[in-house]
Amino acid sequence: MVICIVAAVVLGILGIFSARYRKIAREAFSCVKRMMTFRPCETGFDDKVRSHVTAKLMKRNERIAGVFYRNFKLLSVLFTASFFLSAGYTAYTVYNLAVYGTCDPVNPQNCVFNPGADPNRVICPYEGLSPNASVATIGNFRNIESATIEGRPVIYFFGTTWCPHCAWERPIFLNVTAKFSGFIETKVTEIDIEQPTLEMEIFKHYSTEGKIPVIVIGGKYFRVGSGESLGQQTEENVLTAILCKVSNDPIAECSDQQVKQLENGL
Amino acid sequence: MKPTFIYSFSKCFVMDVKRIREDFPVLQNSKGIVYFDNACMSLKPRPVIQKMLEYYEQYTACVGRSNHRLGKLATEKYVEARKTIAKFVNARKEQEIVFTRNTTEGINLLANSLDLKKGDVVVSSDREHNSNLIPWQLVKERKGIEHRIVKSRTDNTFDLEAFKKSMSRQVKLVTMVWTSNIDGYTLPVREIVKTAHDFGAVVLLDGAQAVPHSKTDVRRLDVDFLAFSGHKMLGPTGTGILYGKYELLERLQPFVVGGDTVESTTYETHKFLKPPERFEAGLQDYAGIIGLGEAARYLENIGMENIESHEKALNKTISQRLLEIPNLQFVGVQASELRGGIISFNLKGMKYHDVSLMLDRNHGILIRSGQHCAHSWFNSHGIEGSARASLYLYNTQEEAELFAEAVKKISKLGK
Repeated sequence: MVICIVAAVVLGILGIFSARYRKIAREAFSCVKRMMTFRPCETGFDDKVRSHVTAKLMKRNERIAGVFYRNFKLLSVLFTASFFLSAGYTAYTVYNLAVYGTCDPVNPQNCVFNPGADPNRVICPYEGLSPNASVATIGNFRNIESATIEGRPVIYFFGTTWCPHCAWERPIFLNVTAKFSGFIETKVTEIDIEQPTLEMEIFKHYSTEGKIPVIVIGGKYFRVGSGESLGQQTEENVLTAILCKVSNDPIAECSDQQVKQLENGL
Repeated sequence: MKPTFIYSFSKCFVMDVKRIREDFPVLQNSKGIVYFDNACMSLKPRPVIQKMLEYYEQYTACVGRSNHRLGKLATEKYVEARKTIAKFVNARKEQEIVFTRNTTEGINLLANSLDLKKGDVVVSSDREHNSNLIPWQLVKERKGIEHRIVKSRTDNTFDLEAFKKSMSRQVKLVTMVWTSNIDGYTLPVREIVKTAHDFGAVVLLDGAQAVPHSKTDVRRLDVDFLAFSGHKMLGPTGTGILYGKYELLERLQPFVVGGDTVESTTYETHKFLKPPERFEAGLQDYAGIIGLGEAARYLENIGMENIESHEKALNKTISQRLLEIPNLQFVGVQASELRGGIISFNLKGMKYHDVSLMLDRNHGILIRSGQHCAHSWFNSHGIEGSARASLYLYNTQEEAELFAEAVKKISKLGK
């Protein structure tokens, strides 16, 4: 009985494209209507499905055909349930793809379908650049210097709310920069929400192709893309090392052996 | 293919089934099919198709009306067909053969033409096809007759004692199926006719399944009316015959009236023709009837006794093999000797429609499934329906073996 639901959906879609399926789609729909009112299917649609599938299975394996025939009701309930489960999950995946650019924002590396994704899976494309963001200063120069504020190096993070690589990087960035509070200036810019003109200019300067996330450290170091390929621990150490370098080792963690080693590599 | 040898009292007949099969275009065109739905529709041999084509291609004209050469030729062929069929059933004269569209129409003609009144009794068996049940239910509603059903024995054979008990002087008509389309069981019609006549009742037999499969001698049987179908005896679709004793036909009021049923009319009156024309209103299916005449001739050449023996032998093979299947139940009479060429059965754990569908899709075996237009019998026995294989002269022993093997395979699904 329940099999009518799946059949109605599938045949209904097929019927849009081909007249061949419309008659049987109507039959399936009438079966669903009868089922909703707890009445048996008057055309025997479910029986027809059972016998046709059994006949086909019999040609391949009689035992399986027998199992299918005898357990049709149970199998059709399971099949219908899994149909709706997988349909729901597919819809969720398509939504993620449209909004986040990846099927699985939590673990984007699991998604095989990622339009515009970079092969290293660390960058999101961003095309929402405003062409008019700039700060004019004397003699047609454009002021993008913002490496330090009151002697403290400025650390920029550019990302969006929907980019999963930004989602990966942001907490690590905030976590590490928080340790240097007072010794650095941190500016996190979600470029799909707020677009302060200076920040946008800096972003365009460093991310010429508009990829995100972008981290700019004290006007000396920058990276386009997240540190996912490094892994969380290494990324924390790298960020710590660079921040130690530009702020002259202000915190105890800069003496850590691993951090010191990385710092020496800069 | 081995020819079937049939031994009669004085000589051997050889029915060359292989040669017969070559006459049937459907068997040549749909290779690999096993046609076991003859109780519903028989296949048509080329001579029958040819005769119909001849009418359409060479002498298409009105019969019994037009005075030109084509009309005369068509009339000649039509009359010849009527004579052939009269001879086929051994009627006294060809005027005792009325052409109808099918058995159903023949029975309806009688139901509407017989002079039945309130208080009259019509007796039937409990295994009637709807065509020999519903007309009498309607007569009961419209005229207030009593419709008595004779219950069969528990083994599904006809209860002659119960029938005799049901008879009385009020019984005007005994109308029964000769050979049942449910299970191929043949009623003891000779005794039925004799008993009915002893009580002054007339007898109508539904011969749809009997006449095509065994020798029919209406005079020997002394039956008063016999309805049967052309399409079940290799004849074209849309053809049927109602045989009636002439003196009885003369007394019947016509049912469908109009052109060619009257000698003359005025605006107020009409003068009916004699039988059979009185009952054949309007233009008939001339091509069909001429083809039907050829079908009767074709069957006569082969011999009805040969066909009957052939079917019984096939049924025996099938029944023996089917008995080996543990979850198979025969429907109706159990013994194969009591069945002609029809085998009705169910497989436990399976729906009958599934059985027929799988036989068709996976094995190319064509049978019917359902209630076979005999809902009353199935309802009274609490059986939902059955799968039914029905045989004819062109089926072979190999087909019988194939069928049994296929049913065995399918039976495993229901275990």
